[in-house]
Amino acid sequence: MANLIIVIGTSAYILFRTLNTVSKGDFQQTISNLVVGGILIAILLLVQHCFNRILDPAFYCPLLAYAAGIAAMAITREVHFFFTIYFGTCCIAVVYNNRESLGRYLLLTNAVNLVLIWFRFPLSMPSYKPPLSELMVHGIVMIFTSILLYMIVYFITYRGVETVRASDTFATLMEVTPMMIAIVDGLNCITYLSKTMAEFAHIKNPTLAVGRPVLDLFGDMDMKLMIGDILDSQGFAASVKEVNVDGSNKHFSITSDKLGVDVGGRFIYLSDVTFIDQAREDAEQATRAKSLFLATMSHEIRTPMNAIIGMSDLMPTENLTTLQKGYFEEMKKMSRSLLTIINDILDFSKIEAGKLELLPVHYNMSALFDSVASMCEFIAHGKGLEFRRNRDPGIPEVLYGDETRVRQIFTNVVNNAVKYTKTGYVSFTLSQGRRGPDETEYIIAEVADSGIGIKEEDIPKLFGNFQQLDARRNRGIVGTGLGLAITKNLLSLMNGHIEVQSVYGRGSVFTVYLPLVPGDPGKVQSPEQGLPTVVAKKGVRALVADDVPANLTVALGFLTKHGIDAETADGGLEAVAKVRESVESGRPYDIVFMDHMMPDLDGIEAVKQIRALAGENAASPYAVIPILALSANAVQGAEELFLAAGMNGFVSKPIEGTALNAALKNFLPPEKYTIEAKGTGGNSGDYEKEPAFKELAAIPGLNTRQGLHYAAESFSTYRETLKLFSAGVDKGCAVLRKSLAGEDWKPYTVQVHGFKGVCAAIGAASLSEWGKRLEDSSKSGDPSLCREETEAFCAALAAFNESLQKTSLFREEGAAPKAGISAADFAAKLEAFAEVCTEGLPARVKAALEELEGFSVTGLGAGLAETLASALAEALNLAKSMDYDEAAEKLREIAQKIKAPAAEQRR
Amino acid sequence: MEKKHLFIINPLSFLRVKDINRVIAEIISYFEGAPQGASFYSSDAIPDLPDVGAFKGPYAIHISRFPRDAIIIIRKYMAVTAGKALVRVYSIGGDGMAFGCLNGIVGLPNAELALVPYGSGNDFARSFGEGLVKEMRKIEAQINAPTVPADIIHCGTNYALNSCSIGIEAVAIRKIHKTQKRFWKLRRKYSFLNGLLYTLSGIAVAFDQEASGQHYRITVDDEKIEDNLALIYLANGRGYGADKVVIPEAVPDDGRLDMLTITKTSTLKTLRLLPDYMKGNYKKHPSEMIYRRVKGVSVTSDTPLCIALDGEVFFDTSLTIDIVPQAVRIAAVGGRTFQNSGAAHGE
Repeated sequence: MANLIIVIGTSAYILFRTLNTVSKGDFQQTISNLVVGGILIAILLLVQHCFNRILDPAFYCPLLAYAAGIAAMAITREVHFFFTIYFGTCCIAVVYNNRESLGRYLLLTNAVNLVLIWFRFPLSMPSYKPPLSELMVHGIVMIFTSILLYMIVYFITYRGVETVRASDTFATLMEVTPMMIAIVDGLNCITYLSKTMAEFAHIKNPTLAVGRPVLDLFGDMDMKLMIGDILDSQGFAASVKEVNVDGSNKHFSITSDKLGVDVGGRFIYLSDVTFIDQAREDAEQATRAKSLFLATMSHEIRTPMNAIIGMSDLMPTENLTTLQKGYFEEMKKMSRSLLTIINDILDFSKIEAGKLELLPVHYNMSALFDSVASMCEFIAHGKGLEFRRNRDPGIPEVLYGDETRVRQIFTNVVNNAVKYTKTGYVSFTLSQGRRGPDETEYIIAEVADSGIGIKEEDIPKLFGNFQQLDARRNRGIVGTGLGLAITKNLLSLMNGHIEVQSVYGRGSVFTVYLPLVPGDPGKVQSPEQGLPTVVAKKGVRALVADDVPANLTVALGFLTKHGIDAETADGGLEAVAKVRESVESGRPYDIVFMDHMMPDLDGIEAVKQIRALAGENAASPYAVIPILALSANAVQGAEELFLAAGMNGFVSKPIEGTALNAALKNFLPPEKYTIEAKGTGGNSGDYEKEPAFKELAAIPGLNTRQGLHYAAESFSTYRETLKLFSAGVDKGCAVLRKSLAGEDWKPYTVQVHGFKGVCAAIGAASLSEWGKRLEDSSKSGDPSLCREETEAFCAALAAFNESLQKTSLFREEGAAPKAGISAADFAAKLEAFAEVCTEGLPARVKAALEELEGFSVTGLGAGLAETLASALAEALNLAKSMDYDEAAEKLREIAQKIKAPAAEQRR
Repeated sequence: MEKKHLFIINPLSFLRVKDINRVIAEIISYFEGAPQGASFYSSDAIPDLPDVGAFKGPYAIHISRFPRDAIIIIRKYMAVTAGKALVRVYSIGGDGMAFGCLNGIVGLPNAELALVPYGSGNDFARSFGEGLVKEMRKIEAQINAPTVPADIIHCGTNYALNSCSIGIEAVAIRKIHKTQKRFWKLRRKYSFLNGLLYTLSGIAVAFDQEASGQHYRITVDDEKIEDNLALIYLANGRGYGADKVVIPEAVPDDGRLDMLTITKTSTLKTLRLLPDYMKGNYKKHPSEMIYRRVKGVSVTSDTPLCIALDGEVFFDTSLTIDIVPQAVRIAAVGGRTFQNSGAAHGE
């Protein structure tokens, strides 16, 4: 090609020269030009052909052409500016062949030119001396042309080198890249294809695909559709799709975007992400396995742990040696710690697995605060610490959030403070405030203590997993180190946070910030509300056996809400007798609730006796009658004990309405009840109008809300329970003192167990906890605590009772006028009332009692009236205490005594 | 079953936007009445048509944006109907558009194809007879046309209506395709340029020793052939190169492929064979041009196979080509059948 350029250039030059001479009419010169030109071209061709393989044709041919040009000028005796164009043509030829030679060529030709100019064209024919001016102009033009050509070529070759380099790099990249890439033009026809993409499309040589529509790459319709969707997009697009390729389902990620405006077209990047999908599926499977593990372990671990803890609580230790008792107490303590650790780990696992979900409800924040504070106060007092609590009354009563988790957060933080404080105080304060750049309103719970404090460098580690700081100093403080980590995670879920300030050795302040979300008081649900409720049909017979009248009142109150008019028994023996009577009369009880600890015959023994009555007959009513334990002891695992004794289930005291509802649903014969949608929740809120309620709420140590909760939200039931409690305090304390004096721990335990239960039922949590400690002490075989604190406990009960009795609940209201009745008629009423007591139906007893109290007896002697009044009061009290048999006996005695003077008078 | 009509237009088959709009107007006039269609007659802009998948009542119009997008369009519209409607797909364009539409409807039981020939070749349309282009361009005639079953060629992972050729012909087509984008308007305007280009390209390829004498290993039904061949041509339809015929007996409903092979000869001999080849006079050269009627062919070679399927060029190293009898239903304007349908073949 280069040689062709030179030949053409030379020919053009000669042609020009010829035409020039022809135009001048110089035919001789014309022929001379033609001959010389022809010879020159022939020489050029010959030299090109001969020396092509020896010498660099890129250089010498243009040089030869230049020399030929000079010779032509000399022969023709004319310097012509067309030569410059001819010279340029030669340069192009040089560049075409080898641009690197251009510099050399230009230097050499211009050097020759300068020599010719200097020596005035020495090769010219004799007598031909071209004018210096012509030579100079010719030379200057050549130099200028040389420089211009060099710059142009340099610029072009520079760009060209870069382009080639870029092109080569791109080609190499498309060859070696493991990515599947296709570059398409504006019509979505392939311009480049990476080798990997070609292999995937079963194309051996990527270049063969160039020019084809990209949709032709794959035969699978799924692939075509996937790529087609991407091609439809205007700019960037990405998607992941499952396609069937070569008979198997795979997941592909496809990404595409337009290339620059100058380039046009778009790139398509395809990636097989089946492994990612597989990994995702594996991860999901792992998460499912983890969830199943959590659910299974949660039950499998907690169940035996509960049994261990519960049975260790119930186990008698009187016969153990001191050393054995010590080991046993330590075992109990460690098992409780272990359960806490297990709960923490399971909670933590849930959080890690992202399985922890918040269940927001409308809840009572003040009740929650009181509950947490009370519980932690008890523990603090146990360590001899002062516990301070304060709640900003401006905080909305009802908030919206996950009540359980909020309780967990508060408990974690306050318990931590108590745990790490040896002396001094722990304070728990609740307030509200705005924080942050967006002025979010928060509930602020501040827990301060005078504890051991935290080193500044340890504070960042505080919320880490399994972190226990200052291990040496804190040796002996049990914990997993997860409590604060869990707290922090829970707060994160709630969009809250926690802050710490501490001075090592002096104390710490933990501040919890919870977004304040006001709740709707009308939507605060006690668990009973809104749940499907069991409503017994008419004729359902139920028996409640408990030695504590207050407990009977509570249980009856709950059962009344389910439409059950239950009978009562004040001990195990009476319970067995009543069950036997019911079976023999052909109308066995449909359900029996049996307390555990009763003085005459405890619940477990009573159940065993009842079941024994069935003998071998598994279908006997004695065998099938549902008997549920009703006990305050079976918080953890004692259920197994009750079940082993022959009971069918367990309802813990204080009674929770949902638990009782569930028990009725599970154990009443289905044909004996219906399910109603509304809850059994009482007229909550109505009691607040009662004047007595406010007085009760002001009594220290009495949580009226809690008490009402355990009274099925019935203020009348709650009132009755309080009255019964009050009536039994003196007698109960007398039993305690007497038992203590005689070191007779069995009745002591039963009585203090009773106090524990009824105090919990009326909302006196502190007294209940105190009772529990005394009960534990009396059962443990080391009654030192009983000896130390019984008197104080009784004094506390008496003081509490005094506070109760000062309220309007215990003041006589303006007595209604009583109807006068003759002695004989009154005696008849008493006998009828005795019959009602014998029947044992509390509702009828209550109605008859109210009727009886409305009478005023006339015609009795003064001495008799006074004697009978006290006996009558005693009998009526027995009836109120549901001691119906004794009451009936007393009433008949009184009736006889009334009748006796009348008979004498008639005689 | 409800009937839907999907019109897919290849804008590159039309010289002017007005021509496209005229076709659109004809479609709209049929379905919605003349006044609605009239507004498109003089428009210079391609109308803003509804999104893909949205039938406007019984019909939808889509303008193809790039090669093979007909496949995607058809699948999307068919997904919308969920098999509850019979969809007639109208390929408005040339053989390339017909190729895309065919590959879009293959395998769909509720789809049929109508060929509205606006291309330079329209080879398959000639299977119904010569000189029918104008009649087949009438939308109303196509809408009302009954269908006839047609065989299709299954070649690798693609399907073709008319023909499949391997060898110098495909190479020549590939050479022309490189200039296609640049000079398509000139070629549309002056159709003789197409013939000239193909001829020049064929001549140039004839001199390509590698292309004109490639070594093939062929299995024809049960027969094995191994030879250097210039060309392997498999016909379903008789049309070829706008106005030519390679195998006049080829009928698209006989359940067979008509196969013609040209053995390797000298360049000059190849050049001499080409005119007879293009006129269907293969019988004049029985030793160089070998005719067979086959059901299926498999072809392999050590060098890549250059394949032209209805004018669309592919490359592969091994190929299986077979006939799929009565795989699609084609609208037959005027109730026609394929030419020579049922006629005896010269074997």
